Amino acid sequence: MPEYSLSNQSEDGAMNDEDGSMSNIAAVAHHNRLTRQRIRSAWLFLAPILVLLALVAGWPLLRTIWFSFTDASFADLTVYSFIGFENYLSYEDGEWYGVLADQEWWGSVWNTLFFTVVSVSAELVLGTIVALTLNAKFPGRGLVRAAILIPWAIPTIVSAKMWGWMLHDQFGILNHMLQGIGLISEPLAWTANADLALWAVIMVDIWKTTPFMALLILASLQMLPSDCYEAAKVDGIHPVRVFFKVTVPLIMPAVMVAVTFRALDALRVFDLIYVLTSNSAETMSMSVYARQQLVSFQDVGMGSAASTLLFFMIALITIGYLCLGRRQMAGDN
Amino acid sequence: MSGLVLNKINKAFGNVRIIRDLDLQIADGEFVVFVGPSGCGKSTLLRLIAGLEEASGGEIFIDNNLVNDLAPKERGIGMVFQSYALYPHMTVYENIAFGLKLSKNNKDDTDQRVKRTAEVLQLDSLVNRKPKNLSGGQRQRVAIGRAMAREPKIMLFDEPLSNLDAALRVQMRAEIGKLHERLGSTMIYVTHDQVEAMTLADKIVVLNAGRIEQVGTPQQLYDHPETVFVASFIGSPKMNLLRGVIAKPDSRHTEVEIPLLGTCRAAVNSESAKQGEKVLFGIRPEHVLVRHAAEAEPGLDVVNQEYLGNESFIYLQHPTDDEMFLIRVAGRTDAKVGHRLALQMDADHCHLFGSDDRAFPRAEVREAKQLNQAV
Repeated sequence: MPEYSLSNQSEDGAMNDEDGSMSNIAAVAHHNRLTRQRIRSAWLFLAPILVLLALVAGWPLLRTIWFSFTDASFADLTVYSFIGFENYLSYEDGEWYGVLADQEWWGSVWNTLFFTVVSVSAELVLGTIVALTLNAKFPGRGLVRAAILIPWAIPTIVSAKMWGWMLHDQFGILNHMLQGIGLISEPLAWTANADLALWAVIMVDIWKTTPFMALLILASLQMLPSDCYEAAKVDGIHPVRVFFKVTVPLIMPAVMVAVTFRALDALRVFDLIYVLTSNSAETMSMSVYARQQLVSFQDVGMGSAASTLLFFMIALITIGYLCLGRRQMAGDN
Repeated sequence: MSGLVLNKINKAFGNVRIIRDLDLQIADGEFVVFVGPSGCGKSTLLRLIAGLEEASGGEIFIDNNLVNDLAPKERGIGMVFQSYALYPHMTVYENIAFGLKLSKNNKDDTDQRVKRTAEVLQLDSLVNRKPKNLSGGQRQRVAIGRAMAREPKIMLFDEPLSNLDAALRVQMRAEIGKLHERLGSTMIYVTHDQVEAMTLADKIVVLNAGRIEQVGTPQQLYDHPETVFVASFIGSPKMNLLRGVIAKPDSRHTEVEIPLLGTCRAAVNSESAKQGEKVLFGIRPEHVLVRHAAEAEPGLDVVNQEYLGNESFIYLQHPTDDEMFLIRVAGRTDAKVGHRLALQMDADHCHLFGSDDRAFPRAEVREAKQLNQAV
């Protein structure tokens, strides 16, 4: 049909024209001066926040990295000497010393990674289910949407303390209820038992941050084009297939952002674990380890070395994610 | 046979009744256009037929089967949405194939169907592109292809061209018309644009406030509007309406007294009316002849004049009417603002509407004349 081919040509032709005119604009000489002016004012606007960031983030970070190469003590931060990589790893009298040689450090690394993978995965699945539920129309939806955010709105210290009581081995309501329905015969020491403690921490974290995940996913669900779903309905495509073939790919970018946020959060988890289980080695995260070295053992050098390692680990994951995301976007185009 | 029958259809959202007791029959292979102002229920009616909305009352038959309780897919319909509703993350190929894969077609069959559809719509070179890399017209073609690929009994179009620019709209309009000729399937098309309705339809259904005002061919609606609404909705620019009273009821030559313009003749049958009854006298802008009024001759003042190149519009103001009286003349006009023009209205082209807004039947004379013109 000639009319179709004609239309194709004219539309493609229009696109080419557009490209052509764009390069023409770029070639205009005084455009460069305008661009330079814009770049200058952009820096001017950015300067205050850059200074602020350097003061509150850059300076402490550099100081921490510096301290990790010293033998500074928490008692007196003015007296210290440079000792190189000894805080990280050193060999003396046939034995290895330093953070990287510490069994407890590697235990805390394992705990942190385990905690991150399990809690973020569970939060992702539960958050998606909650988001899908809240996305459906039902009476009282606004109220439920507000209510679901409560766990996330409570300060972590408060909810950790609250759960600490609920999980208490003697007076805790959880043991009481589980015994009441006959699931357990003996009260469980949720936060003290080495096998249970990390799971208890994970459970509380899931309770607390699933709403955050749900909120982000709900936001992306509400951005979805509703007419696509009607088209799928007209074509008689099964809802489960629509979910995996249409919904999931379309909310993926938002889900990845949510997962990244949560993963970075979980990697530096401190308050929840510290309040629920203190310095117990079974549940110790990297942040708790750093605090222990820094405050309990007064060893600023070791604590800083642990903090620096944690910083680089998170930085590495973030950079990896950004690269992956950029490549994915490039592939998309 | 893929006919569609609507029987006493009602649709209410809460307390708001969108569709009221609507009856309609659509024959196999017909191209039917639902037209009406926004909010008249035309899109809702289409969604009822599609099965995206449930009727509050009444029956929908497709091929003599009651389909009220059937899912959209089981009704054998395909739908093209106003916003195209393409899956943004899928290529053109995947978009068309997505709806096919589930029906027990094997892979080769799906592939063949997608390729054939793409060929018919001249999309072959675009099958690996994603929607965002397509122009508006191409996207629209993909949307049509997706609806077409399943070979539905009835294709539904919900304002498919309203997101396109004017030039592309004209082109796509022609393509949809050609597609109907080639496929021969029943098509139902919703639009608020009466030009699309006039050019595409075998049959136009004019809707207003959830009711059918009139069903007919484009020519029937243009020549014999049954209500004031249809008379002013179909035709652009719209029909002029003047208030008047019947001076002499007659089966052929009704005389109407219009203030300021005197007695006008209309070739309509007004036997059912009484002398002195209030009526609306209607005539289309292209059916009025004008000349400069003599000294004491009755006429209307020119308030505006527009020159469009091939034709000119002259706007006159009747002192007792709110709306301006529009005259369409070929080429240029020497009428200027402030001039007074005498009108000569061809009785054969006049319409008359009673106080119930319904038209008096136009006399037979007119029919015969029209037939001659057509030959």
